[in-house]
Amino acid sequence: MKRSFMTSGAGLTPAERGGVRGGAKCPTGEVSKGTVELDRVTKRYGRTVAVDRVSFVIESGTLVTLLGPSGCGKTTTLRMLAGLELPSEGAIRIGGRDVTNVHATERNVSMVFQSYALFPHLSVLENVMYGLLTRGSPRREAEARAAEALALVGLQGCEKRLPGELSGGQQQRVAVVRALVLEPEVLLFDEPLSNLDAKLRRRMRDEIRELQQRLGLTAVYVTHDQEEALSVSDRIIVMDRSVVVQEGSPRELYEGPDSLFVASFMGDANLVDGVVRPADPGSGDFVLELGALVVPLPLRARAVRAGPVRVAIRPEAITLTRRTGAGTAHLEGRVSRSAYLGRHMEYSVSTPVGDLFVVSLETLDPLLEGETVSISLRPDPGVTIVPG
Amino acid sequence: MRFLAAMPVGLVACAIGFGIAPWYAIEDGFFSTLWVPDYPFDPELAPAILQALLYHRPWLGPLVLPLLLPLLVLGRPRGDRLRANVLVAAGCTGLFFALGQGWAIGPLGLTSPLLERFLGQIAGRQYGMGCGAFLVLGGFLALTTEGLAGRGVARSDRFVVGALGFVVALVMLFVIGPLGTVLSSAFETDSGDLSALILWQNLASLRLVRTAAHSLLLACLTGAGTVLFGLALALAVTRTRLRGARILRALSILPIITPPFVVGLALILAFGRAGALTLLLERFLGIPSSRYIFGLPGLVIAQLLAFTPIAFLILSGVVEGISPSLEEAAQTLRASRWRTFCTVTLPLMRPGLASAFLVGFIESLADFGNPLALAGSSFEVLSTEIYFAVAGAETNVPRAAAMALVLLAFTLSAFLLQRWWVGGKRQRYTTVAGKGFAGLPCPLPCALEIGVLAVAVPWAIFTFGIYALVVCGGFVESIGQDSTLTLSHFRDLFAASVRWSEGSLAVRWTGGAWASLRTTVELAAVAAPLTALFGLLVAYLIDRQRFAGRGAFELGTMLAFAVPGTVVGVAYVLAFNAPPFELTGTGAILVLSFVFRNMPVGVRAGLATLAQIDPSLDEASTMLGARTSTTVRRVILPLLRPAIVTSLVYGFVRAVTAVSAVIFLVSADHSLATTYILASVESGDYGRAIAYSSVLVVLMLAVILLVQRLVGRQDLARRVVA
Ligand SMILES: Nc1ncnc2c1ncn2[C@@H]1O[C@H](COP(=O)(O)OP(=O)(O)O)[C@@H](O)[C@H]1O
Ligand SMILES: [Mg+2]
Repeated sequence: MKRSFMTSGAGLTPAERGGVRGGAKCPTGEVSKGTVELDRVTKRYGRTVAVDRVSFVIESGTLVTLLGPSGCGKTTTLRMLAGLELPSEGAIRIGGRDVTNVHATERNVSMVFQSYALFPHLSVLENVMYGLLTRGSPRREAEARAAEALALVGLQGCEKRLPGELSGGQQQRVAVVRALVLEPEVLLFDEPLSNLDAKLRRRMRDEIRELQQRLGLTAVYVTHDQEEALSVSDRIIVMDRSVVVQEGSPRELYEGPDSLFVASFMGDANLVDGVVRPADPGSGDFVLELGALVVPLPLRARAVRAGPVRVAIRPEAITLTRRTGAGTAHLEGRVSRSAYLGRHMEYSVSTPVGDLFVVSLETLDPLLEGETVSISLRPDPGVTIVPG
Repeated sequence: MRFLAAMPVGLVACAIGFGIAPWYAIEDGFFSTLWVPDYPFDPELAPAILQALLYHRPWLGPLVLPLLLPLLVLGRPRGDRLRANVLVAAGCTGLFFALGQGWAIGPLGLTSPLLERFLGQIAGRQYGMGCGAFLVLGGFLALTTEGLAGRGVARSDRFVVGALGFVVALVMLFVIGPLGTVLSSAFETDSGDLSALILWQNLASLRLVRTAAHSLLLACLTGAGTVLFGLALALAVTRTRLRGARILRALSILPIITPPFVVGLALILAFGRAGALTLLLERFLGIPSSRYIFGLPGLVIAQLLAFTPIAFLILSGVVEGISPSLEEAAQTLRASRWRTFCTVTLPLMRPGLASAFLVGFIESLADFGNPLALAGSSFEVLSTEIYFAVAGAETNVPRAAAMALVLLAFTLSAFLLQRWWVGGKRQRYTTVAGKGFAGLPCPLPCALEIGVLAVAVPWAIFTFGIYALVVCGGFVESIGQDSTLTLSHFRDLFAASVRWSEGSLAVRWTGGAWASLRTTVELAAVAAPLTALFGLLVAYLIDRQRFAGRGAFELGTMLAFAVPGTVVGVAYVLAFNAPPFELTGTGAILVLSFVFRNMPVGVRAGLATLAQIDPSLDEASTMLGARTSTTVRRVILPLLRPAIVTSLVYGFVRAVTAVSAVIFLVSADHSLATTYILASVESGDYGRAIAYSSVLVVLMLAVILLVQRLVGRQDLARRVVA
């Protein structure tokens, strides 16, 4: 299973890459190298609980994101994986081996730091060689491998420069290469893109994702940016206030948030009060009533009971149509704000069930402020019943 | 080979110390090599094992047990519990026993009657510990820390636990321990018993109360004065149109490179009874000469000259740290300049002002040189009285110890107050990127500007004049009385003749100062790297490692800053003049006093630099598989280079200019430059004293400039190459 990343990845076909993407288990079936398991891991600093009984499993070869607002314990979790912090309770296993109390230097794990943490007094090449040398590679060989790795991310020619003389994006690449060149079982990223500007951030996140898939690396990626998380991850683990609140694929999380927090953290959501009632007596189906609007309940809805509920509605699941004639079966509203954002329109609509935030791709014939509209919903995906 | 690699270093040290190296201190010094021919079969030179077997010192024998014990567990891996426990047990036992026997049996047999009752009379006697004993002590300490690391202390980091162990041991031995000796000496009667009465008598004596009051008064005046002048200078440099910031900054290194009594000396030469200015005033204005300079006024002036630059350094940092945008905000709220200054600028500076006051206060209390030169008999202060009570005509150790305790209490309170005020927490600040326009500082109100300049400019001129006097004074026959130009002082001090004899150059150093200068430079050169190493190691442990008792550790190491040199001197004399640690009269005790007195400078420089080094660099190194020692060597040390240079230079310069502690510790063999100068002052030979002082000042200045130049160049070179 050991592969040298400089040689193995480059020749993969798209089909082979696809195989990695699904997060497939190692074909041999054993507990594969790089599987990460956290078992009820808790970390306390004095009285504060930074991470509270967090458990999850990360399949080998996948990129999993820890997503959550600032201060929710993402970094702490990642540092415990790295071995820079020891858990107060719980167990950590990497590749089936219990590493809970193993020192960072003895784990086969690398980390890309938020600040990059490039050694400012060493050249780019020396930075990349650093880990190889501490692990006892002969200098010659370390140099060759480091140079090869730098070439992989298009940094040939920069070897002799100091990190301070590189652009932000280049520094970022050096940081990634420095971690990669040791061929770690698991690669950890702590908000690696937060110091870059928006354009570069998008490019770098694609580069990281591409590299990860090409080399079939297991990666844990920390971010507070939901868009970044959605775009790079195989799976996302959402954390809030020290605990894991939901985990799943990007689509599962966006379309089926099971809490108010996840719904509003993963993109925008309108929160509306409604009522669930049986569709036809005896059919077992339910419908959702939002004021005058009645929609069939989302297919994916969990066991629901009749009664008042709170629903989260994605702004793009709402369709607004200019009201033409008089009708009563529709929910009506008045456009209170209308903004043109180039690619789409954003509206605020006042309705009997509350103000709604709506996104529409129709920009050629926009609605005007003050217009009366009738509102319809695409329930699945886009509408979720949230507890509480 | 594997066996050897697994062998803890401590064990090797123990084995060498026990079986090979001479156990006791060697009379002529370890480096003299005079002892080599008689080694090892001599009761003074034999290693411990021979001492026990052949020379009737059986109490050294049992040391072999804790030495052999670790061999039982050597085969086990590093993380093994049993191995860890055995190492700790062996290390502690060994340490305990080695120290215990040293204290229990002295040059006259058993040291305490209590022990005699238990053990009966013992025929043997022993001298101060030597190389072998220290190796064994260090070895057992290393075994202990290795064991503790195995038990999971400091996340099982052997480097960190080892470094901590050694730092703590050294601080105990050379800072806390000696201070403890002072404390116990304060209770000691002539017959060697302890009695609280004697301390009380000393403390309550009118003489001590008066001396203490003098010290406090002087310290308060000096503290307030330095703040006033320092603030004026800081404002003048940062907030007025005065050109000359560079000159003022240059002046501010003067107190560091000047031996502390030189200012006092210069004042005597200018304002004394027969001083140059006094005579001028008398001749032209008819003001009669008087002795006012010997007493409080003279002392205050001298200390203001000496310590204002420190306040200036602190306060200019404070003034510059106030973001101009805050003042601009006040002004946009229609506050007048005065209002802005009083409601924004001044309150923001308050902690800085308090801190500067307390630093001036501490420096004044600890000052020894100026009072020695100026206080005379009319205005005694604690620091000099302590010296006279130890080295003067009427020696009275308990009185000296009592005064040392009082002085220590003052400085420690001020030190703790300062730390508390400045908000004990060191804030981690990462260097701000030079982005954005922070706004222009608000100009001072007119009246204030005039006031500031009226204080700052005369001060600068006065300081300049005093130093000019120091530099020029050596070139005249006798300042004030006979201003014929002469080189005779320098000739007396630094004459050397070069002669060509028998095909080679023979230099004869005939001047009287060569010996003291050479000793000074040698000892300072030994002390400087140790100071830097120790200080930076401590800074690293404080800043980058988490361990139980870190707060106490930091306090303990910074404490040395608040201990006046005089107290250090007394403490070292009392603690190290008898076995087992018999160091008085050696060069080592001077080096040790330099290292532990100046270490806080290294700690501060290290902390300041480390605060700007992102801790994730260390972690990145760890993640790349480097052990802590590798990280320190390859990442931390290179990045700490500015701090290394700073602490090296300051360690050196401060060692050269030290007076207060060393005056207790110098011996005939180790006469130092400063003590030579003081002796000249005492014998009234001002010309010679001032000449030597100016040479020291110029020499230190050269060292600082040279180093700055070299370091600057290197930085530049690095940038150009890269
Ligand atoms: N070394 C520490 N000491 C005390 N509290 C800490 C420490 N590190 C993190 N915390 C606390 O733990 C919580 C989680 O922090 P962190 O993992 O850095 O959050 P995130 O990376 O998600 O923003 C925060 O409330 C933080 O204050
Ligand atoms: Mg974080």
